[in-house]
Amino acid sequence: MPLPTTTTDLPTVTNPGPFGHQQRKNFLFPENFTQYNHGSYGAFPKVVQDDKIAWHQHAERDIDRWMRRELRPALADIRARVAEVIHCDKDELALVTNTTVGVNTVLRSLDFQPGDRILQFSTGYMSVDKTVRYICDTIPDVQLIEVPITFPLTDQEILDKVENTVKTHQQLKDGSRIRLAMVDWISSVPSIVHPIKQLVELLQGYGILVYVDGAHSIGQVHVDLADLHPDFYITNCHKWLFSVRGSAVLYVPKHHQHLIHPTAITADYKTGFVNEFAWMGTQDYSSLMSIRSAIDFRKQHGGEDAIISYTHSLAVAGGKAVAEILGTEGVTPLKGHDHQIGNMVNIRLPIKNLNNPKVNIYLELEDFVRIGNVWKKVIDELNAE
Amino acid sequence: MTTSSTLPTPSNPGPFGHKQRKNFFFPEGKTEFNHGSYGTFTRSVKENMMKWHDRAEQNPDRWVRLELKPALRKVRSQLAEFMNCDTDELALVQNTTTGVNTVLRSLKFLPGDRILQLSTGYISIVKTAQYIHDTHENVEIVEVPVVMPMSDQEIVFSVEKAVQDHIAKKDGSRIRLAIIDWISSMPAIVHPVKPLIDMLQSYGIQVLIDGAHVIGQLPIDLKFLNADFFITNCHKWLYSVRGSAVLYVPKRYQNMIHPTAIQGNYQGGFELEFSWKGTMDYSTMLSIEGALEFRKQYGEKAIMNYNHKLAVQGGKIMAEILGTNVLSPYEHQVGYMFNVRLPIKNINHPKIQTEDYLVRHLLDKYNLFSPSFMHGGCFWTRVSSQIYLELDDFVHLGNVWKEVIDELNAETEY
Repeated sequence: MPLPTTTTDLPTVTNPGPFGHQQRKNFLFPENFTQYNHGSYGAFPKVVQDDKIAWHQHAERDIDRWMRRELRPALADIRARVAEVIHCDKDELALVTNTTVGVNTVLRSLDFQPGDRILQFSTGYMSVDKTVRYICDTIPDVQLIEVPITFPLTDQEILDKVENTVKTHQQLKDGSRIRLAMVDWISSVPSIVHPIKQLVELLQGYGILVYVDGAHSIGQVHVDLADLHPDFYITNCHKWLFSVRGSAVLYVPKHHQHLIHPTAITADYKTGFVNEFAWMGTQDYSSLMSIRSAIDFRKQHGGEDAIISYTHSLAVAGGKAVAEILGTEGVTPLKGHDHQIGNMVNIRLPIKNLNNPKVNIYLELEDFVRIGNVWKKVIDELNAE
Repeated sequence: MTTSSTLPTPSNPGPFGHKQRKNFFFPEGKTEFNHGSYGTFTRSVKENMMKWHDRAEQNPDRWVRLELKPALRKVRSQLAEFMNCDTDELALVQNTTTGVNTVLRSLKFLPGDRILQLSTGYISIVKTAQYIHDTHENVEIVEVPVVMPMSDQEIVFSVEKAVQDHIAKKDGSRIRLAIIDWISSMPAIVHPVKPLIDMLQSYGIQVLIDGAHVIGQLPIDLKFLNADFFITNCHKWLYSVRGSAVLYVPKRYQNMIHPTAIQGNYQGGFELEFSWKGTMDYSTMLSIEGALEFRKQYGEKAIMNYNHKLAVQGGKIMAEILGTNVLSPYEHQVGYMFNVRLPIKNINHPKIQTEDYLVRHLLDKYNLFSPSFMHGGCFWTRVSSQIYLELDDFVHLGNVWKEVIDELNAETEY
């Protein structure tokens, strides 16, 4: 086996270390099932499932003790662990069910006024788009401004399009103002890693609040909120961090916290951000509690650096392999833009559809060869009709 | 199957009583007197929940994209049968607080609108109404002061008087919506909801029934009730897993009501909008199926008869031991929960001004808990009966509280 050619010992597709098919046994996949779509709903290792069940059982043994004494400190501990991964203060975080809830939390809290405009990309996620439209439907003269995006685009081209849209709006001089921009860190379909730091700086430079939809970010790219300083940020732990579904994290820096309330107001209304989001009414908190063992599992396998290194290199190589088999090419990236791929890669099907197999630590290159052949067969059949 | 003479009672418990403990998850030595706060579920219900959880994991794409919506619909149709309404009038939500926020944050309140509530309304609901007040211009709360015990007529009369007093103001405002507890939380009192609904609707007021505690505790006939909106927690008295509640919205209001978190299905119609809540674990909602199955073994009448009679008798026994009284003299105002007065001598005793001391003391020293609260100038505890309890248990709880209160009373004698 060749020695790693990188200067570090991080796992890659040719030198997978602890990753690849040997990881399958840690997950819950049935025999013969290969997961190519981790990006939609995530998956979690058996130890994380066991941990969730253990919390679930613990609660049941003495529910009053759990709910009235133990729950809040336990959730605060979870926030502290996530804060460590994404470099922020634990009291700037709120645990929520998923990104859509996080987006609604902020959008439905901000007191939009007539004349406000909300900027989003045409490639934004559908639920986010609908939430913005709901705001526009329910508050007079709040409108949506869309940045039209068609990939492939270089980072600079993305930034230019956004800036042009902002400048075009400025020229209207109609008294309206772009109040907030919704920006994907990694878009969903197609999945492209955006130049997020430059986007945040650009938009904040025009006095626009930036809400980073990082649904796909934690566990897929390195997140450093102290460096990024978005106005708001949401990410799903149950996508790429391996926690159980129904576990996401909303970041609201202290200077915005007084504005933001949960989508469901509880008894703690107006007692401060941390308190307001600590209790979400009677529900099952074991999915949120599973974030702890998800982070631990990842640490045991080399941490974010190792995992991100493997999945990214596999995505790049896997994308090339599938594209070759299909005789097409990746929708992206352009030459020299491999950084626009996280763990997900989009390959053009030789019919007008986008497909994006998604990568994870339990996959290897031969899995991509297989899916490439499956798609080839499906498309050949469709083309013959 | 059983006639009223053969329904289980505390003196003739049939399948109920301590023999039910093994169906639940209680550790040895732990007796649950506070089912009303967070509910609990049976082993069979947990298995049912795990079945759904595992199915999702076997193939998440197949599950979410093909199987989830039909599974949720099936649960809704089982609940619709249970509560006599249409499947399409129901939406599954996480809990009552979410359900109330769903309605309140969807309705377009206008300046001059008023929201009527009783002073005994649940705190999260009070705060949600306050939020509506804070975020709208000239939307105020009209609070009806309620001090139990009151007869059904007195309750209806108080509310009607508040409505009439408001009308007499002639200030251009209008009571738009009334939020009424079916069974209030603390004190736990069954309210006369049908007369209240009829009366309020006769004044053109929409009625949201907070039935958090109702399903599994009282029979529900939504067609007969004719509420404008209704919410109930299945994870309280129905035995499903926490995070499973059901919201009723009749068809005529459905185009107004949207989820607290807007999804990709926005404007796709009520069923679609509420079927998908984004990526989360739906197994707690689906466990309602397991809960209904468990209860079918005994039948609702058997469960209700046992729990209600045990609550009434348990209340009497505890009142005797404590030398006090239960809050309501009306048996029909008791479901499965009763409120018994605690003989504290000093209502201003520092250790009872918040729940902290008693939560710690009861759990750590006695390994049990029942919540306490102030009402009408007295100090009470709310106790929940259940199929896994027997009369002896209430004797024990009475003695524990006696000891706890005697200790506190001794502290005030300097």
